[in-house]
Amino acid sequence: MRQLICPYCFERYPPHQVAFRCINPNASRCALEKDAPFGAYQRVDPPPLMQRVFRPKSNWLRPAVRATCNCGMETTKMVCHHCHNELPWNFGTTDSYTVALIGAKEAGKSHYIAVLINELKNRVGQSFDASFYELDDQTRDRYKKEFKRYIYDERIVIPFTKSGRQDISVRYPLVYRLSLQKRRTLFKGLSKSNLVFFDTAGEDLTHLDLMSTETKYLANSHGIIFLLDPLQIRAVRDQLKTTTALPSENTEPQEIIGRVSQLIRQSHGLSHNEKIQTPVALAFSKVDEMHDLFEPGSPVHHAADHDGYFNTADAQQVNDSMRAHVAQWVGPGLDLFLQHNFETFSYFGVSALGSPPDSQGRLPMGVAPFRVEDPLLWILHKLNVVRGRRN
Amino acid sequence: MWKFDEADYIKRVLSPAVDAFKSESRLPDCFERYDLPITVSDPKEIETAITTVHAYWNKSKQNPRFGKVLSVLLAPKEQQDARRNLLDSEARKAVRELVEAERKKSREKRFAALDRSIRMVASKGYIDPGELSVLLAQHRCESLTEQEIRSRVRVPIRESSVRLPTNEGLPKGTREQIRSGLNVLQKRDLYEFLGVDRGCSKDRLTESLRKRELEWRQKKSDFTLTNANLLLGLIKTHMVDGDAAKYDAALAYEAVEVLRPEVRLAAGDKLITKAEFKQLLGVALSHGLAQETAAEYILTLAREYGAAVEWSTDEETVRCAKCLALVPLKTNAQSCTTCGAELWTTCPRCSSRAAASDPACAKCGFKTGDLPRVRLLVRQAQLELGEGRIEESHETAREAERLWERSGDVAKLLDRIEVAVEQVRGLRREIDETVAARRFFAARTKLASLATVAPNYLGLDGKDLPQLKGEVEEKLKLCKGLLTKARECEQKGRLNEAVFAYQDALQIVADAEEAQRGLQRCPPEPAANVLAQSHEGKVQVEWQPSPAVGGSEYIIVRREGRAALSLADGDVVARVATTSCLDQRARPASHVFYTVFTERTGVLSKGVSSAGMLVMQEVSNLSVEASGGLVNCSWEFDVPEGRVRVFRQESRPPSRAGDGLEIAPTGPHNLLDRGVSNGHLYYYRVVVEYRDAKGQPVFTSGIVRSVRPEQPPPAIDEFQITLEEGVVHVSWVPPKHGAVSFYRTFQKPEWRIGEQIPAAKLAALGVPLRIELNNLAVDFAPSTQPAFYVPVTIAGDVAVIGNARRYLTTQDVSHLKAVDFGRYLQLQWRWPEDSRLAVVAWRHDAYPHDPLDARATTHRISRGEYDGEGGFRINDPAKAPYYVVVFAVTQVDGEDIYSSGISPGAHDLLRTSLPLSISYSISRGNWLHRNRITITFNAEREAKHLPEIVVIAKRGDIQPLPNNNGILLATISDLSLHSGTPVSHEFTLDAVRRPCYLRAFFRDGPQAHTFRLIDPPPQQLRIT
Repeated sequence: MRQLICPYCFERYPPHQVAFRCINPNASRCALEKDAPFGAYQRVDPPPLMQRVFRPKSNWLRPAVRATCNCGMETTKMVCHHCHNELPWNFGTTDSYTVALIGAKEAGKSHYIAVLINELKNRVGQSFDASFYELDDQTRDRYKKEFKRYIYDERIVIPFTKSGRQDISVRYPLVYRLSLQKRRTLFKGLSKSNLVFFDTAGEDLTHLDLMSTETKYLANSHGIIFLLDPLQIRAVRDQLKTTTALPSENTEPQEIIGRVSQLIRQSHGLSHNEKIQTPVALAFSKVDEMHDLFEPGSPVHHAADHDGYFNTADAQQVNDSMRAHVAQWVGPGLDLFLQHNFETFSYFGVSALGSPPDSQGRLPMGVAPFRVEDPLLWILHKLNVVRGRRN
Repeated sequence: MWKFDEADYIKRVLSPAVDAFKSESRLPDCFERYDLPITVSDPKEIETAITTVHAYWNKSKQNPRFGKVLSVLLAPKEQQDARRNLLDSEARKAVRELVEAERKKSREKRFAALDRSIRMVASKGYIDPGELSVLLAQHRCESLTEQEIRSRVRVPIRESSVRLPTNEGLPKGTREQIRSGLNVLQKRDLYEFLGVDRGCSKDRLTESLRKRELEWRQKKSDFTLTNANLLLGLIKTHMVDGDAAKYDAALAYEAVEVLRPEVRLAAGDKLITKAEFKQLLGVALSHGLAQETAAEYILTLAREYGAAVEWSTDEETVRCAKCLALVPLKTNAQSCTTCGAELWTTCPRCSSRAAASDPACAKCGFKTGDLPRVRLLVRQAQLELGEGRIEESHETAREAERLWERSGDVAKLLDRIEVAVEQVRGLRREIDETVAARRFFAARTKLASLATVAPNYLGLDGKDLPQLKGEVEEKLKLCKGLLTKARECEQKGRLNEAVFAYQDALQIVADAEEAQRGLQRCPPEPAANVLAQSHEGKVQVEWQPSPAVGGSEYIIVRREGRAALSLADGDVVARVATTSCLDQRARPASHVFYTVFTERTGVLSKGVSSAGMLVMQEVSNLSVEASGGLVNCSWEFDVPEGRVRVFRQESRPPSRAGDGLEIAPTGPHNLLDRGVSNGHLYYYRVVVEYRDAKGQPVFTSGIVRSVRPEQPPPAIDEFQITLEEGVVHVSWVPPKHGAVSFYRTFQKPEWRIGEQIPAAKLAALGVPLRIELNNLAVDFAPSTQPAFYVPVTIAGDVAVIGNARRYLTTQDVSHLKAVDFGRYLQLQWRWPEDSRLAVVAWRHDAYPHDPLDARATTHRISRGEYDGEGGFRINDPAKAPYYVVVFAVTQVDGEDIYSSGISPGAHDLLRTSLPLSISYSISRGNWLHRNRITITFNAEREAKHLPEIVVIAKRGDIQPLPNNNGILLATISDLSLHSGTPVSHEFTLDAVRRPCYLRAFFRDGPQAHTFRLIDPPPQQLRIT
């Protein structure tokens, strides 16, 4: 039976078990109740007073999309029956893919996700004839306030992401719907899927215990984008002689990916002989600053060419080139670890901003991303959401 | 009787004074320095002491040890103050208070700890001998003598009158029964249980007992009833039938027994604080003791345990400032019950009662502790005022005011002093003014008044009355001598000498009336030959000087109709020492006479007059302007008696009125001459006609102006503005007639195109541009704000306004960065602040000159588009050089103003030398020859003598990098390729184990700029 995974608590259940929240604004007609599951998720005590949550009569053949409360008010506000968070509209009706973005502190994860979403909405969407839009107001507001506002409106860098322990909003995902025009099929129409992005605070990846509480979604992700800042690698810094300050707490990339694999293994009950099936895209950020480290003919110097299809040959070339360089910079350990633990992984080189910010954190030249879409398209290609083609 | 012993004085007074002066810069007080007791009152004794000690000081002032202190003590001010303070009884009293306070303060420091201890033990009103012995033992070690310690104790030393009870009263078992029963019934004692007062009669006890028995009989049987019956029985046995005093003794004994451990505990630190005492008192009261008895018991127990007690019965007290004794407030005492000193003072600020011992008012914080000092100052000021030393008195009173504000005695004294001060200062001011004006006779009178008001006057400048009088009399004496000399000369007929002497006397004493009278008797000689001439409405008056000696001045008087007879007979025009003056106020067209009087030291000669004359005025602000066959004259003239007449002559000016053609004015202030031809020079003479006294016409000489009418030149309508290297170039087509100038202004010109203005008004148009050629003007300092460029065509005196255009210098973009990403070229730049649009232009052969360059490809981009796209992309670029320039655009009045695009940050170059791409492919031999590899090269165009190519293999599936981190499999040298003709080479994989990754590289790095090897798909490169 088709299972629905709540994007907040990652409970799996059949769509007909979805609960509904009453929307009656008159508290005297429908009394407010202490919502303990929601309070537990939000970590607030005592639980907040909210409109009541109820389970309508429905069966697996016909999952309910609307329900009527005891007070007589009809509602379409679906909530997870486990954590009582509001599910995006029509959430259970389409495939959902969770993409987790991980990386060390100050690797540029928030910048990457901010630019990636903008690119998916515009340039990538245009070349794939795809529509990419937010599924709920929370995503819309959060993207506008915490991402777009900084780099596109005020043209400054995004402040550090707070830990999930400090800021509950970090635990909420950005939920989008990708609507693609079907190609090469007898039936014309749209292929729709939900994409759930999680932006993780680097400090939440420093301990396994912390990850198991604050980044539960990692174990349930369909794809992982592991963002690495090459400027935090000493070999690269020595060659570039960069003056960029290192973050105060620099976590080795292998430590993070090691913890992630351990977390996934624990959650899925995988033995050491089994490889993790979740595709992992290792994206090296800030390649604009490493221009001189790649040979002139390297594919990393050229823009990707995904004209309606994911260009697998180009991705292969970039993977080989980046892989060779990574092995040179950090040694073969990382690559061997990935080979031994993950069934599918690939290397990428990306630049979210196109040029480094100035000393005061401003972006006077604007944002000119480079190859930011490659890791996500590769994951979507691996998940059979996007078609690939060898050019 | 006061006696002086040098050795003793040195030992007791002088040596300590020297030490105190060295360490604290403190001088001994008035009493101490003259070795007088503080209670001294006999003026003779004081006088003797002062005289004797002063004599000794004068004798010893050379002593190296005492010299410094004695020099200060011998200062006149110190001596004067000390003498006055000691000899005046009130001042002495005030000083005594102050000195006592000071001495007390220093004593306080020494006795602070002792006093604290005494306060603790003496606050109950007495000290017992045991406590005294403890005090002596504790404080003797602090260098205090027993006598000093005893002197500090100002309360009686006696034994405590209370003894702790030793009689148990009732047997222990009975006491315990009673206590237990009372606890159950929650009663303090049996009296409370019965509801009677302690010490009541036996009958009352019996009656109460009976009542209680009746009450309790009616109650239900329970535990309380049992206890009540027990208590009733005990009362009957021990109080009614027995002796109630025994129960009282038992109560006291019990209370002490309860208190004892409590007091012992509290006395653990040898001090029972006030709070602890209160708690103990509460315990004792709860056991039925009276307050006084309870306090006595606690004190006795505390003494047993050797503890001091901060004893208090919540009684408010006030401390005496003099003897430190605590006086209960409830007695409402105004003076100390121990020493009789005043306990209270009134705060001058808030008028509330303040304790004299408090350093400041408890209500408002005013320093009431300064009272003794204030009293002394008030007395000092009173004495100074009485002695007529007003200013000093004022200063002293002001100091008292600073300490005590203006209240009470200080206020009254200040009021008195200020009245006197005002009077004295007024007199002194008048004296100073008369002296400054050299009126010494008047000063003498004022000084006499001052002497009456303040006989001992001493000014703030240090001048006293004799000094002031001396200065005045000296001048008067000099004056008197000169007057005597003048009189003699006058009598002998030597008038000039007499005049000089009188003048000298007046020079010294301005109010010497005799000198003035003498000069009146010798008037100066008059001036001669007065001549007056009118010129442009002004009259120049000249005369010959007077032969009078002694410095004369001339007073010129004007009168219409006839000559003035005296100064008051006409208008005084001037008072000069020279022999000419200019009268600018003579009424035009009037007939005037000028009279000159010679004045010497206020004495006038007879007047000498000029002949009568007519005052004539020309027109003013005459302007003559020409424009195309027309001459316009304008002027200003407002004399009704005058008539303006204009004469014109071609090529030369009219010589006088009537010469040339007379042109009738069009109005009272202008004239329009239409009878002129363009290109001819015309002269105009404008004269004014007046009538003299006989009615005959008289003409002014007139004003001449020339003008040459010209054909107006055409206005400039079209011109180009460009910005080159930060300089604005303005170019136009030169007109056939007239010269062109350009002006830059920020305000829109008030004249419209084609309007004619006088050439003189061109400056109002703004800053003129530099004319480089007859069709080019440049602005080297263009403004960053929008400015108008105004063309003006000038011919002769006529300027014609052209079409003004608004222009803004636009800044270039900066930091243009172009990056080649293969599929597109990415352009990014920084925008100038005021620009919202840009034009991206590129060419393949050279940089575009401007956004309108016909050979350039251009794209217009807004800032919003730029921000959304993150720059500008040239998609699918050609394989050719890209010369890119970004022009910032500013819109002014709907017109696009482009930046120059020449700054380095506004242009960039890409793809100048595209490397030649050499692609290669790799194939393996058939299954029999799997180790044989064929590499095939292909070029897009002919390539000869390629640099050496190496084929590198790396074991595993990670590709080798150019820095030779693999195994060299093959080297291909001197390879030449033709377009479409592949070239293959074979080699084997024997040297490396599979799987491996192959790649080909040029051996020399720099060749990468000329050639580029294109890798085949990874599947070919991975050898399994």
